Amino acid sequence: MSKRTTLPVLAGLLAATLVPAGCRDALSPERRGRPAAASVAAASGIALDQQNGALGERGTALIKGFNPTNPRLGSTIIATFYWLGSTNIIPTVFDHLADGTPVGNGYHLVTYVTADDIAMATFVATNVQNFPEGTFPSGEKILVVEATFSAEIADGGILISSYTGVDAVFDRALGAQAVASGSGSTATIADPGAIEVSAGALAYGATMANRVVGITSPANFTPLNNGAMSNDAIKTDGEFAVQASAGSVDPQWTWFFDQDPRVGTWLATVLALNPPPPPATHLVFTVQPSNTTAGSTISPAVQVAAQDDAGVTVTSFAGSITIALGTNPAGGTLSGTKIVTAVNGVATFSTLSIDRAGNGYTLVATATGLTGATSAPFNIAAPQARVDVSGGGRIDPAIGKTTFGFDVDSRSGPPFQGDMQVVYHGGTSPMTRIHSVLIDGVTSSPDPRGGVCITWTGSARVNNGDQRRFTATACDNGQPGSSHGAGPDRFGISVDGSVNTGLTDLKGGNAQARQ
Amino acid sequence: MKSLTKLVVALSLVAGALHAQTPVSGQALGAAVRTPATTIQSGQVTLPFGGGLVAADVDALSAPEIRVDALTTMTSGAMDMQASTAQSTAHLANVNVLNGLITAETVIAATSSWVSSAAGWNAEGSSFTNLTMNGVPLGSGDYLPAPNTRVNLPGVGYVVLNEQIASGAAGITVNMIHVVLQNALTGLTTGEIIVASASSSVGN
Repeated sequence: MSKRTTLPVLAGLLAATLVPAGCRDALSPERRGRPAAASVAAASGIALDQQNGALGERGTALIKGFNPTNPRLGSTIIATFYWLGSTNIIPTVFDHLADGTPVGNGYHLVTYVTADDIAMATFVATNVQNFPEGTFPSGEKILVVEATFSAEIADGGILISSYTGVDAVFDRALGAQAVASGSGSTATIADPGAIEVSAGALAYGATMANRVVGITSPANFTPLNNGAMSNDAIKTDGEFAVQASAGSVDPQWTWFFDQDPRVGTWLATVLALNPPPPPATHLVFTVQPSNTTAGSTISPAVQVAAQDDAGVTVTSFAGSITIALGTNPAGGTLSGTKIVTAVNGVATFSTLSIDRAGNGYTLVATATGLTGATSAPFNIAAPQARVDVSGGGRIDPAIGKTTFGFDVDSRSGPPFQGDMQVVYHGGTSPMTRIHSVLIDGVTSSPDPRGGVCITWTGSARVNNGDQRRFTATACDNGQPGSSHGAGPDRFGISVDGSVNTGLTDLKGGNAQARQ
Repeated sequence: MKSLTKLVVALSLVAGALHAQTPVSGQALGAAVRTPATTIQSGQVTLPFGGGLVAADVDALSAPEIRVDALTTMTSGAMDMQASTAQSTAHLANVNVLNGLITAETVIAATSSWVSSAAGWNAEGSSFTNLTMNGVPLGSGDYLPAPNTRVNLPGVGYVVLNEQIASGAAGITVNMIHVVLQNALTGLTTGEIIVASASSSVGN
């Protein structure tokens, strides 16, 4: 073949030269498990569709068509190019019809290996489109794969094969790959290395040697293009297998370099292509809603996954998932972002909250075409009272005019940071002072006037005497100032039952409870 | 001479754009005397930046100008996104100023300041119990004269009862007894006595 065959000429050449076989290897030992059919169905959805190959090409392009039958639309094409050379000088792989019509599928370089002046590169195009399906004996509508070289090659070849059932998305379809090279003068195993493959994946292997000697195929692999191809300088082989289950794949060829007096060099590659993920069929709450308080964001964020029948999250699912209240024991309202687009098959609802306390709430997740899911029951508690309280002022209980000040942080303990000072003076009696030394309990409750009452307990000294237990309560009606809002704030304290102001309206001052 | 009044007032914050989580400040003072012969500040407490509670107890205060059986001062405050509040009290028992010229069984100064949706202050809770002047009862029982009630004290000077000094939208100082000592001949101020002072302020 000339350096670069022009496309009109190529159409005529294809019928004559692009026959589905290169030069057959007369020296090959007996082969194992060679299929007779061109299309091999696998246990999974991936199956060989079309194949072709040839060696003995030279120039600046390697070209091969799927004559006489084109692949099916949407299938995946693997093209392995072999040539004499030590660098990857393939800048472009593209496809067109034999009559020159551009097709435009994208071919991705997946593996490349070279040693001892032989080289091998494998390209993959998924979801091939834009060509006619069918058989074309006259050749002009045959889909042709072409690699251009940036420099002339003295010898080379191409092996193309197409497969149905591979994931249409290249990045998702492409699995593990491995390449290796070696040499020997005896029977030598060419092993690209083991790769892990998923269930139903296609394992594709290719090898090349600079000696035309016998070769055995890897166990459990099926040869492509009726087996090894060779000419007087190189010999190649391509194989595939569809893996019923996930596991390790390690194709190994044996090159009989002992059939040639010279040391032989081999190249080998293996790659995996995955089938599309099973379709999502149903939704699952992968992060259940947690108990929280009314009005607070449910945390951690609720997550709903789209899963297949086997319970595996379908990472390709990118649809919208809607969440709503299911069981609603308290007539609550669900707030937050309730429609979320799944990312990698999972929708994360990070802003959900429910405004009313109740036990046994559930959430329901729905998505078009999928079976919905109901969450585990969860509870919404009444909002936590604000946990810090401070204030001061005056009350006038029966024990005498009382002034007080306090500052208690319930988040800090127990024991809790804070302080309290109370002093009262009844008539001519001496002033009595109560000063907290330990605050070991803080509780809160709604204030019937609105707002919240905070009660703290602990030990206090009365007039610098022995420590005695006390209980103090301050109620913040939500309004600053002693006479604003729904009545004054209140304060009260009891000490071991001997001092008790009762919960008394402030005559002056303020109590402020806060989060 | 800088007056104690100015000292206390200086702790009140200037009016400005007030809003929640604004700084709070407060101060309380049991008694203060500043004369050529005596300088006393008893039971002074100052609220730290950010709020909290500060209190002080004094079991007895005895000076030529004032005697107090016991006093307790407190100042507290807090600020958050909803509201910022500060309040101060000075609570004195059995007060005797200038050898019986002014007496009271109880003197309480109380102030409260806040900024939430609005700003404000008051001195509610401030009062005297059984206040007398020159042995004459003023009011009966719990008594609170009108703000800034001035009474002349012949030969001594004058006293302002329930002295209230506002500062901005949410700042207030209350001095329950503020005696200004004057030279009987020249009328010049020679000193002052403050009994039961409370200040609170929110804002800056």
